[in-house]
Amino acid sequence: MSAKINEVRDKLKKYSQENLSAELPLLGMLLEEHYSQTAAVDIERAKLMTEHLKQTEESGSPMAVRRAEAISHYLANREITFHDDNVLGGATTAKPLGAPLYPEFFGLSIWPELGTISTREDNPQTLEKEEADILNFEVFPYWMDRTISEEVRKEDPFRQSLLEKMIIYTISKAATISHTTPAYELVLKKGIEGILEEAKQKEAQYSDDKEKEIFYQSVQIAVQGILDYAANISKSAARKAEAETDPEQKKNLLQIARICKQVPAKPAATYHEAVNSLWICQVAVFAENSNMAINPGRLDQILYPYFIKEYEAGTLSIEEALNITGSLWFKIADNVNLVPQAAERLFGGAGAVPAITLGGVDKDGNDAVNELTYLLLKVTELLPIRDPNVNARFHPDKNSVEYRNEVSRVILTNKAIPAFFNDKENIQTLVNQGETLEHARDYAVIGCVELGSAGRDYSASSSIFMMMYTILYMALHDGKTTVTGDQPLWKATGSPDQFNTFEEFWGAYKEQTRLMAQNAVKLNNTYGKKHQELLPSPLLSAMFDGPMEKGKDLIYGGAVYNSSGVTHIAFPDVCDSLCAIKDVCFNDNNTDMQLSLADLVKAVDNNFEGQELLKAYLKNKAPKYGTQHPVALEISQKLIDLGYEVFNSQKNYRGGNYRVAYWTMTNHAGYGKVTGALPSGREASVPFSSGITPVSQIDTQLTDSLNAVAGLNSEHTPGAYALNMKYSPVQCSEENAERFGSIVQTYMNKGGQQVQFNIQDYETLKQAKADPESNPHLLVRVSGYSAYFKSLNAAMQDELITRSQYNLSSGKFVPLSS
Amino acid sequence: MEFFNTIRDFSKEKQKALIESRLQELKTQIETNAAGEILDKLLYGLLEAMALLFLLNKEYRKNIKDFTASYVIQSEDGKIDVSAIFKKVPLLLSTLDGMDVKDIAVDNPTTTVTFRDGKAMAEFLLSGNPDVIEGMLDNQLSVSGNLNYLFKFIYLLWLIPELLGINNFKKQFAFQH
Repeated sequence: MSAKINEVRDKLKKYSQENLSAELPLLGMLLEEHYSQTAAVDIERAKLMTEHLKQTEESGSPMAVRRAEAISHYLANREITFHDDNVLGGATTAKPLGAPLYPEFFGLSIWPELGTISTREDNPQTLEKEEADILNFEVFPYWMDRTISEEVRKEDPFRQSLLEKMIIYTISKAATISHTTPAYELVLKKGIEGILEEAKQKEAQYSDDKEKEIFYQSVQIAVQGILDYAANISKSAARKAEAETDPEQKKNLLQIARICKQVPAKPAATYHEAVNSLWICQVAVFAENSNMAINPGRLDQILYPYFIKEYEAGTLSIEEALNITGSLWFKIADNVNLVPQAAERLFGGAGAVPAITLGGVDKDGNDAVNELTYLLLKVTELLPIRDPNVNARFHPDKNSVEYRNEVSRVILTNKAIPAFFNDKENIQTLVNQGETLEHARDYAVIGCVELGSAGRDYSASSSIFMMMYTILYMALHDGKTTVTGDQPLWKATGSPDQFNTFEEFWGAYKEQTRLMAQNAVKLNNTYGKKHQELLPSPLLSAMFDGPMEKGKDLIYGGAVYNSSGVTHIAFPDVCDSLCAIKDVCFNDNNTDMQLSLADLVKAVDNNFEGQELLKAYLKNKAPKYGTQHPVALEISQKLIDLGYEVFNSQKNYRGGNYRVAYWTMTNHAGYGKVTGALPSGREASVPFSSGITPVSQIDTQLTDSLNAVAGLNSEHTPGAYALNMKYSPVQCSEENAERFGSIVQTYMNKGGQQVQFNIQDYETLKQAKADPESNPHLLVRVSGYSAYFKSLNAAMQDELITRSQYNLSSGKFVPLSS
Repeated sequence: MEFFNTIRDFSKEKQKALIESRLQELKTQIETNAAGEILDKLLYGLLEAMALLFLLNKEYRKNIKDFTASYVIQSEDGKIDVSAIFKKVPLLLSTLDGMDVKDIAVDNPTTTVTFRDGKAMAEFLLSGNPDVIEGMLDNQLSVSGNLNYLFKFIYLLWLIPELLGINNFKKQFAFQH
């Protein structure tokens, strides 16, 4: 480790959560304000965009141009606000904590709630009467026949209706365009003016190619909106400074005025400029794409040249850098998703999940951890807030033990963040997906846990949610579902009494998986085509590798890579169910419990009523994923291989791959509550296990559980997975950080891709549920993102409480006492 | 709706008085049916009240300016089958934005809502939670056709108790309309 890194680390040591307000009063104040905010619906974008689209309805202009104009119109005319003393200019919305409404996606779903959303029980979002009226009378009527879902319904009503059954599959393109990481470094280096000039020149160069000409025109129109927005921030800050009497605040406003006059229009020259430039671009992207998992990316790499130049020159102190970076953290956390009541059940408590990635290796495979990595880790430690979603890449062969232990120390301190990602496995799995080694090494985490080369992969990483419960149900019921009537949905694959061997039943499960995947992909691709028609993304295209060179919008495949993602809900529960079926129905050597598959299905369908012995056996004696039982090891790998097999061969509408993943946000709890029992012994209406995490309360040791996950072939989980582990709280000593880090490293050496932690015990979480105000800012990892415990729905809280807890020192499972 | 025919030949003032009187009757009916969960009548009563409120209340009518659409609301067991048709309603000298209600399913509706049964419909109407998606997630209702039209319809429906001054609906409004 270099002397300079040690010097920075030494300087950072003096700052802690305990002395935050004394040592960094700005951040202390911003943290208090952040905690006091309640979310408000923001209609400004919806109003201005709709207004402009109505006006240009008959213009005859191409959609790319109309949309670019509407985005630009919004950015140039939106309200400029300064809610606090944050040192950065720009905000996602005009509200301190805003939930922007995107009418082209799912915004109209709050129509029935216009009168109640402010007072609903779960995570209310304030909406003023005047704003509700604007939505009701001006915005929503325009979009009734124009939302993306209704456009898709015209093409494929059957598959769209299945989406609306909620438990067949979910296609997130109904709510967002992409989850991706822009190449913000392009703006930092060239400035928006540079990009604008490039687009102008290219437009002239391709005047004989209509498509390219329109693309470059739309880029110019869209990025002009960013310039106007930044100029307006600058002017407003200057005006506000004139009236400001507090000298410190006046100075801050003048600084914002100066910086926003400079960036992002021009290349950034200082750390402060670079951070503000990046933030304004992130805000601008939200004008075009919804605020879901748009990721700042590898900040310790992108911002490093600006930081180190000033630090070495003595023009930037560690305190100033902490204040600027902390200000960015609060800005990133200034927005949440707008969600209707039911979505609260499925996605409740989530922020906008913008992922920041630290550490790992550089494009040449060398240790990329630098002074700024440690500074950003310090900010993460000091500010235990929901967003950003901070992730630490770790390469067991390249990164230092000091770095590994520092990440561990931060997790032990704030009890949840960051998550660990294994560079060795993740780079290899991306190379296997066709990324060059150099590009794969430059991956950033997307949203919850997904992977993609930063600024090169236009990944729609949450495109499809596969409901594994439903697939298993169909395999057990001759292809029928609980919501589509008496006929098989896709195909009859046999009733339980027709299977003579486990392999025959597995064949039915495979077939239902294949058919579900095929149909989900078909609908996702229809959505993609509609996005191409209606939602071109010229603004984001200007900040990406590929589109400007190719003259092609991202939505048409302009990026270097064009992946889509498929995540799976209920993998652990379905895996345990398949293990149970094999053990109980097709195992002649089982002398404790044997019954036919038909009888097992009957018991499951009756929620084990009067079948207590059977339920107890299935829960406690049947093979379980998360142990080293050979049946569980075999079936978990078979399931992973099957997911990969059915999706990897399919192409999305941009010509890219479907990358299989296993993360679940809050879905596993929400869907668990509305589904029936399973052969694993899980009763009806019980939350599923999160991500790829073994089912809670299995009596297994920490190492067995980690090894079961690490043993899965990560080339077949290219979208990555969320493994949630819970440790009993321990003192944050060097010894414990070392122990914590070495367990993570062993897990990675065995092949684990990702792991995240809650350092909590059962009692603390139970108490927080019983009395939310006793610990109002309790931060927890859900399944890829962080949330305030009190904002989660009861099902999700219960799932977190019952997650298996391990003792860090002994590695022993700590059972939940009733 | 039969009521339209009975008032068509009266003066404007008389029409207004008859509508007000009918709304009072409907209010009582809705309160009784909601309390007793007389399900098929509850829905029809709500829809009839909706249609009359459009005629009487200019502010409420603003919600359906030039709006044309048709809805079928039914139950899987066939016990409930009601249609709401938004169209211009001719009354005496003027033609207003309005709505008609029929106790049959009309052809080619914009949106069809099918409740699992009357109980599911009552739970939806009286739960205090107007979320269509939640109902779909719980498998209490299914929708075919344009969902956005349903979102609007539910919004309009939920304004009725407030406009009629019914307090025993479990719903609480955040602001007055």
